[in-house]
Amino acid sequence: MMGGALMVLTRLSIRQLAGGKRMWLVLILASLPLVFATIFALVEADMTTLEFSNGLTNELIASTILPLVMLVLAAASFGNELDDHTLPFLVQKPVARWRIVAAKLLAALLVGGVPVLISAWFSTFISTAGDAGHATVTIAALAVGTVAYATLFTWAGLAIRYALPFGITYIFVWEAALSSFLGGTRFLSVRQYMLAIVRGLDEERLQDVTIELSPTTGLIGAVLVTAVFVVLTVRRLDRMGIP
Amino acid sequence: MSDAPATNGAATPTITVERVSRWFGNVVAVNDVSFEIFPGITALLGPNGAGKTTLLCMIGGLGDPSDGTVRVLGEEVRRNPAIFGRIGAMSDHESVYDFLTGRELVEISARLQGVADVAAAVDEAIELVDLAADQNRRLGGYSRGMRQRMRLAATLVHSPEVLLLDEPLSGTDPPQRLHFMDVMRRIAARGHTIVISSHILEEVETLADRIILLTAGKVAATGQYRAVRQKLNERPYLVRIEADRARVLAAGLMAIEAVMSVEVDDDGRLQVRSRQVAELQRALPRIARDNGVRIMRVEPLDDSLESVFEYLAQQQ
Repeated sequence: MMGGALMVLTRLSIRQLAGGKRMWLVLILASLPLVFATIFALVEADMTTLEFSNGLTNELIASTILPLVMLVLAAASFGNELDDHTLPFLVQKPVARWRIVAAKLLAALLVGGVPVLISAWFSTFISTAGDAGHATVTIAALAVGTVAYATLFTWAGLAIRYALPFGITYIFVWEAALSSFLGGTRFLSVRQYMLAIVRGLDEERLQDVTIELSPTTGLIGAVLVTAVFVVLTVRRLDRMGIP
Repeated sequence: MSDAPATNGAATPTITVERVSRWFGNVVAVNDVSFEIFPGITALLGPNGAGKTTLLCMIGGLGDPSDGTVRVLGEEVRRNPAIFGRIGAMSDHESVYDFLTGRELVEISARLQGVADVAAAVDEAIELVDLAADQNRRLGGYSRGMRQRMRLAATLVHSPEVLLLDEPLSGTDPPQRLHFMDVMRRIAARGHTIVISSHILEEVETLADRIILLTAGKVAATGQYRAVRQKLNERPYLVRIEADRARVLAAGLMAIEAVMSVEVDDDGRLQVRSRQVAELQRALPRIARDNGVRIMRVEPLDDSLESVFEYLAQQQ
């Protein structure tokens, strides 16, 4: 039954997240790398395929599209339940809290993470002139970051009243601005973890990007963020007063 | 749905609320409340803001008491998901997943509850709330009353031993209310415990076996409906009477035991305070006739439920 409960909750959450305008926003954002890669492949540019691909991964996908998509979906996965007062329907069932959290995470990953990762694979493939190795390594590293972002923003949706402003501040102030001149903040940046893993897996990639973390540190950081925020989300769901 | 619950016997309370308080900052929503609830239908009655929803939330495991303990079927509810296999709870918020059909909502509830024969339980629950014809329509297109009924079907699809229903009759029309009451009686007859909150006395008078009256976060009265009603009837009523010979009528009224005081205001209208309003109703025409007084208007001045609750709160 309990495996069934996870499946039922995941399907419900997917339908909740995939409905309406939000899905269009996700699809538009996810398709942007593909559009840019196609344009790059069709026109003559002043940069090498690797330079373009690095820019695509670092400046578009890892720094903007992936975190934004995960913010919009993961924060909404509990945020919608709180706004609509439907959370009692889920928690007043004989289902462990961690299963509810797992279902919400899975739904956000499937609805938001998968389209972005598919787009990332094809756009890297196109922009590196058909190098499947570069593309696969890129999405492997991005997948680790996707999970970390999903847990961080799922927690935010449950624990923080203004989860979207929090997430936008994290993405565009903490990760983008602060980490460019405050080296220490890079140790608490999912984006830096992802980029470190990309370069660790593929030495040719991201040579022109400042990455202070080792691939191992990046991987440990991403796993830690994931674990800590899963625990915090389950704990929060268990202890909060549910409106 | 049809499985009979493992009843605890008439003498054992299904729900025990012991010295429970709940405060939000400086606001005390529930103040040192204790009561027990047994199988049958119990109404939590009180005006808006009396603490009914806060109490139901704590009984339903949605919030911790600031002080005291709540036990359902002998167990703690908070951080005890397993107990929800024996509880069905319906909040006062009418929100549902609008993108689901009515049947899907009940089906999801049944699956999460681990019901063995989902299809049969769903059929029975939907039949019980009389929505079989509309079960495949999206909830977003339902009327308020239909949504409440489908939420009720989702709440009782696993045949819970304890049903907690917060303002379940809001948004329902009179025929739906009658149907709902019938459903509740049938469920209670199986030995289940049903707790219904309401701020309308008449709503629960024909339904509840027992009433817990809350005012300002405290229990103002508990007991069978008639006993509580009697207590309400014993409160002093204030009645305004317009008559052509007010002072003569005042003298006549002062002579009867049912009247506590009579005042004549500047406009010549009487304000009569009585603790036995039924007796006053009987005596008034007789006194008027005997004294040749013509009565133009009789108007209760404090007959709102809030004033009733206020009176009971002052008695605590």
